Amino acid sequence: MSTYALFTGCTIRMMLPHLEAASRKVLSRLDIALVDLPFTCCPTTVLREVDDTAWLTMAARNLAVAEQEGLDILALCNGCTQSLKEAQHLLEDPQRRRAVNGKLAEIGMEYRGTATVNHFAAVLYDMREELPPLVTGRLAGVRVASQPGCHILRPSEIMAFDDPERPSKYDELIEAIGATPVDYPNKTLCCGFNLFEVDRSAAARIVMDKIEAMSKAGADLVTTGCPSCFTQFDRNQLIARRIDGRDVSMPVLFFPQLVGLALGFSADEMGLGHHRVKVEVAALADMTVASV
Amino acid sequence: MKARRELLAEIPEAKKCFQCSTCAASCVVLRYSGGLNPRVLIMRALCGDAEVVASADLWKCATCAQCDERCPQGVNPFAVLMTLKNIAARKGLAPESRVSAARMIAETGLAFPMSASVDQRRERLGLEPMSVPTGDLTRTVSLACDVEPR
Repeated sequence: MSTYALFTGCTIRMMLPHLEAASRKVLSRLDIALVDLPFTCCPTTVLREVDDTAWLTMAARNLAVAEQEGLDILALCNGCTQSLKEAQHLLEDPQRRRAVNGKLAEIGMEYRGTATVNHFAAVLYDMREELPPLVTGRLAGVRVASQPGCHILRPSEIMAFDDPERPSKYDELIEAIGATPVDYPNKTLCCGFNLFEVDRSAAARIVMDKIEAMSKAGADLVTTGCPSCFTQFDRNQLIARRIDGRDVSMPVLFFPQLVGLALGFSADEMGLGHHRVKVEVAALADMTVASV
Repeated sequence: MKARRELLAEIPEAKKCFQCSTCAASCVVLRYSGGLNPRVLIMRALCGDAEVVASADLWKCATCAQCDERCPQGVNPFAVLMTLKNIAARKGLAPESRVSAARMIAETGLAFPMSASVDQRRERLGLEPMSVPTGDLTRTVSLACDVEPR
């Protein structure tokens, strides 16, 4: 059994707790033990763009919290994974590390760079050969497009997750859990989430372009490991459809939810009733969802 | 040229830019919304245009980092824009909504305002209530734009 410090991130723990609940059930079923530590916001680029020193200090504190317990981090969110990995990369610079550790010393902490940061999908990818015997086969025939999301792919030399232009790891994982991966044009394009408050019609066109491409490729649903992409494809899709007018739709599953369905959890156990875009897929007809 | 020197001291990578526009061609914001053009912002910095940090376009970046990934010169336009925004914040030129969002993260350790409904939803799902150590955190983190003179 492996043990990780679970890094849920603010979007999941505060805005989408049903995704946290589903992820915990799935990780437990996969025999991965989780420890909860006093993590703050990763923090997000919202802080970094105003003050990158404050951002780096807060990220270093989170990493030091895991280091103190001797644990590696398992992150559920692309953005958190990127923030923490970028911080580790920047803290390789001795001068920066000294400055940050000077601040951390005020609270009796030190960043040493001993904990690894691992996204859920990366942990599963390392277990991919163990997955087929664990799944039920109920996803047979379900055609799944993936939205890896920007922050797990780029900058690729720091994230080191997948080919940044032709990513395939999610497709391999979709296959490993018994579903059918569907490729589509512009897979690496941003979902548009961060533009939603800045230019809503542009954000709507981006997500509808993606949904149209997935739909033409024959996908039944899209899966993503990013809570911002999830929100863009779930809540924001309803708004985007009204603004954009195109008559296409696409249900979304957070990647741990898709894994959970493959492992035999019910739609209710995976929190599908909390979705704004109802997951109605013919091949998943056995999964009746009670609305919450 | 003092402005150019000051800017390039903070974004030395920008000197490698040969204005090929790969960043602009890869920018999801430019393609779908317009306004933001990383190549033009970097050109303005290279020309010593001190006003570049006052550009509202900087704050449209969707942070997708596609420009960083594809830049053939290793300029890291995404990081350059990030630094230009930091300079803007120190000079009091950042949009107030962005500064207050950043300040909330620094002060509370959370990306969203905490409310009773967050814990109520978590409880209904069988999850532990939120707990974040703001005490030690606020002693380590303060925003430069709040402590340094402009």
